[in-house]
Amino acid sequence: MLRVKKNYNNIIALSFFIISILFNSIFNEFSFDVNLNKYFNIQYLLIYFFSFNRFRFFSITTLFFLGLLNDSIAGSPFGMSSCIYILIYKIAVYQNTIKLRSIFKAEWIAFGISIFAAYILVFIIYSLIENIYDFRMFIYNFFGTFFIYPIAWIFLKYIFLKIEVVGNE
Amino acid sequence: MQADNSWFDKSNLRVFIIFLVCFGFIYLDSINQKLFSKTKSIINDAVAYTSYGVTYPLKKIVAFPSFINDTIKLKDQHQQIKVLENQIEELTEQNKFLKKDFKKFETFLSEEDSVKFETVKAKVLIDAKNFISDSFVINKGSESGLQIGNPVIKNNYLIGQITEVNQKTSRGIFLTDINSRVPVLVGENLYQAILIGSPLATGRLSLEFLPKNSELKNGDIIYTSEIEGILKKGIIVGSIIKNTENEKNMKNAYSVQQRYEKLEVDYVSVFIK
Repeated sequence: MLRVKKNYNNIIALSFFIISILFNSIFNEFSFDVNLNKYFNIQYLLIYFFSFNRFRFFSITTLFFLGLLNDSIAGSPFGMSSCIYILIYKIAVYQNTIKLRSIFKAEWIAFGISIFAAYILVFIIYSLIENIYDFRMFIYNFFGTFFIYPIAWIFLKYIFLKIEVVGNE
Repeated sequence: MQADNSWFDKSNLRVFIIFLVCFGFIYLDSINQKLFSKTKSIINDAVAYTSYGVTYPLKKIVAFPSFINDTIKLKDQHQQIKVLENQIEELTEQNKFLKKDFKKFETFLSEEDSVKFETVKAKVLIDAKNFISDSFVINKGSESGLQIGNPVIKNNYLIGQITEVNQKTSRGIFLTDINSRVPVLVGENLYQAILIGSPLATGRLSLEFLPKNSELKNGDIIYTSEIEGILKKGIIVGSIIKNTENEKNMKNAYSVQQRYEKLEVDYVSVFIK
């Protein structure tokens, strides 16, 4: 009898993303108080990675609802995260379709462009609605997220490759 | 025809519509449209309780090593408590005359009841931080009488203010949030100033609008100043730290050391009247 191969990659990817939204709530049980979100944005990174690698659950509709969930938890203007997520998704998918060679450098630069566009949009929305003009945090966060991407890329590729191998065995 | 255009295909049209919906939401949120606010309030309540339920087992898993550690230490602590209890008994015997003073104090406290603040105890459901905001969600809302601007207290220290009230939950911002502005009184001379939050501040906050000739010492206490109907006077916020010469060039001469640790914020009190 043929056994159906199960691939849990998509569910695990979605779980990773939801945990990243609830990260602070889960890990404030640790006896340290470090706001990692101050230095880099894990969510942007995950969306780009999963959209670029065409994970099934990372579609426009899902990202719209995940964005609303994030806004509800973080208290940011309702609808803002959805906008940002979809923007990153579109750039990632576009980059994925036009890529001629599968080189990491091109993927990394495209990631930089997509999060740069995302931060510009966040800055515009915040400065229009909440009168926040302090752009230092945006710059720190942008560079933090940009430079952490290669490490996260290696980690995620390794994890999902392992899961795929285990799932196929 | 537009539909034949490769750029303006169905997928892009969907993205365009969703973008419009998102911007519509942002606009309605910014103008506090009544129906939208009510719907958002219901969504916020549902999300807060669901997130709490979802994260609860994960929190317990994460906290398990420290639970084991605490259990191991429990025996030692129990012995220490016993020693302390014996000491207390001895001290109580030795200082019986203090009981008389205590009775006087009790009478004084009962007379002071009329100026006691009414508080609501609440549990922190979500600790929500991102690179801009530093906020939390508690399990009490408009049903319990909470209003926007109510001060949030932990161990008698101010830790933040309520910024959004739903029916069953509320959102508060920590003093480190970028939108946090608290009028304060500083030092023995009670200089007036504004305490300003910044997520970039690591454990320290900055004071602005201090009088030019103000002279403050290290450790001077900072209290809240009164805003009628919103903020009570005299809640302790933190203490003064004189900045070093290098820091002075970059910002103010003084900064503020908070009196609480964020990781301790599991239950809080909110002043409601």
